[in-house]
Amino acid sequence: MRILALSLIRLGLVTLIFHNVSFGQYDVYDAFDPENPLPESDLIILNNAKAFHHSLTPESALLLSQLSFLSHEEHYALEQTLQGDLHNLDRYPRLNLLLNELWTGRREINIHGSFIHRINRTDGIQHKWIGDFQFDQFRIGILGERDPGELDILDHYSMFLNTKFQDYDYTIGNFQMLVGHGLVSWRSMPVKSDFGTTNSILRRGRGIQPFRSSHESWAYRGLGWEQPMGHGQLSAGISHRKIDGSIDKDHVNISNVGLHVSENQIKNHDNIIETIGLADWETIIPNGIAGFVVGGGAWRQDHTDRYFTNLTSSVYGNYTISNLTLFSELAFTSQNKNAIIMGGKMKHDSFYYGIVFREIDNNYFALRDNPFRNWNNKELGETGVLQELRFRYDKINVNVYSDIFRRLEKLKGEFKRDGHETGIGLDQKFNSKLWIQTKLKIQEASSENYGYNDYNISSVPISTIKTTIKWKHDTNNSFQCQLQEKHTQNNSPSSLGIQLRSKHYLGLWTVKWYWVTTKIEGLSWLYYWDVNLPGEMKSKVFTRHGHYLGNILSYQTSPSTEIHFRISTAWRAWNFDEIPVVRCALQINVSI
Amino acid sequence: MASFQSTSHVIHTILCFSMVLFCSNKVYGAFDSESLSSFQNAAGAFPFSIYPNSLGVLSDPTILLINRSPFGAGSINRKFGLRSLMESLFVVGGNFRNLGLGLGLSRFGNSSYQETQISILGAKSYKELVQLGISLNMYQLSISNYGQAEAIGSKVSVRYAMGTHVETMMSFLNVNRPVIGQSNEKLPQIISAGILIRPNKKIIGQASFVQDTEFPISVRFGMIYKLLDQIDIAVGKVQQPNIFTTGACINWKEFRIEFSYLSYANLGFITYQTGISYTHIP
Repeated sequence: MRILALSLIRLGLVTLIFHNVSFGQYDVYDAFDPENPLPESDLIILNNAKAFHHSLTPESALLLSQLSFLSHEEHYALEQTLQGDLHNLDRYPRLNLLLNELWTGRREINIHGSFIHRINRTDGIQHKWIGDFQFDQFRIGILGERDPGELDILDHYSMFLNTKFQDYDYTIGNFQMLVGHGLVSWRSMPVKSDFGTTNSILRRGRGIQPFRSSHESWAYRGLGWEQPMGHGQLSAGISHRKIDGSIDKDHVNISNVGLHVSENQIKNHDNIIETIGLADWETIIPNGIAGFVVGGGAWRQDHTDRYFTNLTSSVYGNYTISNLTLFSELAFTSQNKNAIIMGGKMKHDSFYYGIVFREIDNNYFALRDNPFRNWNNKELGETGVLQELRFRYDKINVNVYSDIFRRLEKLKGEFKRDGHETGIGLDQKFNSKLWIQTKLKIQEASSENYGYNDYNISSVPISTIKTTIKWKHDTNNSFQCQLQEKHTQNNSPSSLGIQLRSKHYLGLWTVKWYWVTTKIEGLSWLYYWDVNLPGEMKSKVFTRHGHYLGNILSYQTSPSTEIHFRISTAWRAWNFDEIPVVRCALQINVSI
Repeated sequence: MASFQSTSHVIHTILCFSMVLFCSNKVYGAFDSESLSSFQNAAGAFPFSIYPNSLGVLSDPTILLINRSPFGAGSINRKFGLRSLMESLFVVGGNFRNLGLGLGLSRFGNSSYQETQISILGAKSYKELVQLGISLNMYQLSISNYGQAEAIGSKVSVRYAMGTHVETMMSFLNVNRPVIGQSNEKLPQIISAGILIRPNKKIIGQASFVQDTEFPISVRFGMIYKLLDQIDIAVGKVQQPNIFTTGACINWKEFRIEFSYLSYANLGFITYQTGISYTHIP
């Protein structure tokens, strides 16, 4: 209680001041926590929306509705736009901000494709190519990647062809299937506890979508289609491909690494042959929607006799009465593993309350399940309750969330197996350009590492306070300062960080500067968004005292083409007495 | 004296074949030598074509679309200044019904070791913004007393006009992962990317990257200046390997004659290259 009181006092002292201008590549992303990665597909979707469209139309609304971070209301608004029932998004400030960022400045009309080539120097050279092309009713997407040290030019590639024929929508190649609330098949990135999470969890999947991320093993590869069926809509897919991973007794571990440099990595490249079939039928019921999912898969691992099959099914639905919306998904597998996620939200004017309960069995594995959960570790299961409250007091918007969670299985030597996460945010809008925001986050969780000592270290609550000041000098010059303090609540010293950013428009040139200085104590590492090229959203973790300088230089060669160059220098010593680590990248954005 | 020269020459040749030429931990393999025109080499070993109707077509077939007449070009030089490492390049091509077509031949080596490459080249444009070039390469490797081996490779090149002053290019060599010989030696897979800048009618600048997947990336810069209507001069720098380059090009009626001078700073070798191209003007 004393700790919470102290934190609240600190909270009162911290202010976050910023204008409603864009500093990052997309201002909406600045609000997300850099500790939680975002799907790469979101950035590709935004890049395509910017390249192909010029305003909010049914076509652009359809594309934007695939963004992962949208709330249930925002998603519904885009669906209404898609059906031609809504033409004004003034009630949705975040969408409005995003649309303004996307479609301002010089625009080239009649664009049929966009292409990005990025050369990124880290420990070696990474090449990435991303393309999206529209030819009449056909949409074609390509993605290629060669990581540092990999011997094949196209160590990873992904393609899709999407088309409509009458009431049927086909996707051939790499696709993903988002059904229910993620207990059977979802994106490669799960939803994590944060401000606004209850609203994101409530949003159900939209069925078949082209796969645009560079995750090398997550996509389905084959045929996916959607069609009207009975009184509902059928989404179905069949996939046969090779993935990286391993087969355990009752589940498959899909590799998230995608690097093939060492002898072992090369040997295990595409080491599992996977065949999957999945179908989702969804229908409209009075005041809601109900759906049923059924699927199955078979996996065989090379060089071993390991073989695994799994059948899965789930039922899901949502129901709305007045201001109250309830939802749930319940899933079963043939491995006798079950999972449930359920909750609701209530909204009245500026008052909002959301609650989500989940219980996921240990070693629960469906096909591409990735539901909301706090721990990445799936072996021990998880149950928990997330609550979120938003209301307006005078001119101040208050946002509070709290997630309490517990492992279903206990490790040997473990005294405690639960955790909690709490966040408090205040913001006040003074006028059309200036508002103040305050954020505090307290986290306590058992370690993901199983060691006894690791557990003890990480079970101490960690508090993080961030202060950001944004200042727009004029239309061409903007500045930002962010202070961050993080400490473990056991009287240990605090880690401190300061980030300075500026952005300058000089005609066809754009220059961005970026500086970070950190003083790190113990394991209280600090996370900041890195200096990112358009289409990147990397965060950087600072683990030692040091300094970091970054710079981006962009040149717009024509209304539809840009060249971007990024260079960063990191000194991992307070007194600069160390050879700095230099990184750089070159990116070419073109449209045809 | 003659004996000493011969011994020195053999040592240099052995160095080139068996030692680490430019990199401390890798050894070049078959077909790792780039086939560039004299003027591409002069302008910093730019891996893409600078002018149409030239040997640059061999490394970048997209330029075939800019050719307006049938042409032929050839070049002979000694790699690294070594007499026994002869490289000869020839190409013929033209633009037929908005489809660029060409045929190329390159040979490299000596009487004991010979690399031969025959290339069928094609190019097509889209919306006058994008030029796509494809090259089908037939590789043949001959080593005396060991026999010969063949493989089929490919090259895909894309050139994009990013406005009136900037062009960008990229290419992928051997995406089909060819191997050669009984030992299944992997042929080079190379990613190239480049930017060509024309700030005015007299100056062309280039920055390029060449990434053989088994070697560190090679960064290259170069500049061309139009001295007179008929004469261009060029200077460039290659990092990895460390090369200083310079040269000139003379246009005379249907002919273009190119010279280049490459100084390998770390090895002390100097290469001169001369090329000629002829364009049939009806």
